[in-house]
Amino acid sequence: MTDDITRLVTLFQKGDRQAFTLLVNAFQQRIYALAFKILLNHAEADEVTQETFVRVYNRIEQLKSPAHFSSFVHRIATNYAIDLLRKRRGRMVAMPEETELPGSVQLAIAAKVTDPEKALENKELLSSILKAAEELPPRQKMTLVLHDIEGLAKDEVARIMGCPEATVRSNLHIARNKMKKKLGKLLH
Amino acid sequence: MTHLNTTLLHDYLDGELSLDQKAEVENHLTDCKRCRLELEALKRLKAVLSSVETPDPGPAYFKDLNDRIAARTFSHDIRQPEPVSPVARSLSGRDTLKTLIRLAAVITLLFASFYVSQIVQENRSTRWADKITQGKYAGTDSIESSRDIMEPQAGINRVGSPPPVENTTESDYDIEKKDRITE
Repeated sequence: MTDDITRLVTLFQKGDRQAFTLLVNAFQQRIYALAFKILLNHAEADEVTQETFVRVYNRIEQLKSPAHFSSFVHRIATNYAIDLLRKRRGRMVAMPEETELPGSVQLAIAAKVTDPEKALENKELLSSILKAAEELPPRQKMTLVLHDIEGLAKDEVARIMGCPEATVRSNLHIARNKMKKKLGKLLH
Repeated sequence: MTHLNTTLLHDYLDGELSLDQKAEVENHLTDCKRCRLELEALKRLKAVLSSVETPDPGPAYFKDLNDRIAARTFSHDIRQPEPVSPVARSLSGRDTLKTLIRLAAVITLLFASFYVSQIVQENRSTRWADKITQGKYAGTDSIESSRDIMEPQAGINRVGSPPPVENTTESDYDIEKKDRITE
């Protein structure tokens, strides 16, 4: 899979448009999902996804190592999402209600939770967690999303965020502690 | 009782401790309720965060997204075709401008150094010519004249050094300057 992506990136860097289309197909769901988890908003997630691939298309020559394409795409997406978060801080966009989300786009708990009562409890907790995460500074929130929600390793997060691994570690610890403080008894 | 520091607790949660550190933390947790509760809260937070499911807007959405991306990229293709060779690459777009600026800087430096060396050489030859025409070295033996050249005397400066400030009499340097102006 990684080899296929690397080959497609190389072809795309040589001007093959079909390769670009295939790369968009391979990454668009991941980027949309990441953007949605950061912004909790379909319209902005859509904007981030679209803009990310347009930027990838225009900046592909800046990518020195085709093997790092995934980090390259994620980095463009997170930077754009951070910009949106910063802009949003000035105008306080409310978290959308589930009914505002199109079609099946709804926050849900993983299928792993089979007990309906437990699922509901977790869903309520998740809603509070996501609201609390909204108040984190953009880079701390981004680190939390990439590491704890997306499940990326710290070195990968560091590559995407363009910072040392130690910074990722410290941002993650600070973000988790803030969340823990805000959620208080809900977590116990 | 001292409690576990935050970093240790988070690293334990993420499974990033060495075996020794892990054993140490686990030992502490058996005795310390506060740290145990702290760890439980962090575990719950992490578990719920990792269970956030990817929203699925459906295949029609991604088809539409693909079309919009294609419309913004392929129809307004601003990318250059792949350069034929490294030379062609170096002469394309911004690289050409950079190359021209570097070339201009090198040419300017060459001209400046040539001009400075010309002035220095001209100064030196004018001074010696003046001294010879004034007969300063006539009748002296070679040792004296070489000392004359090596050691600066009052009113005579080494090439390139400014005239002494305290010297109020008209020096060779001043005479030279006057001669050059009248020329």
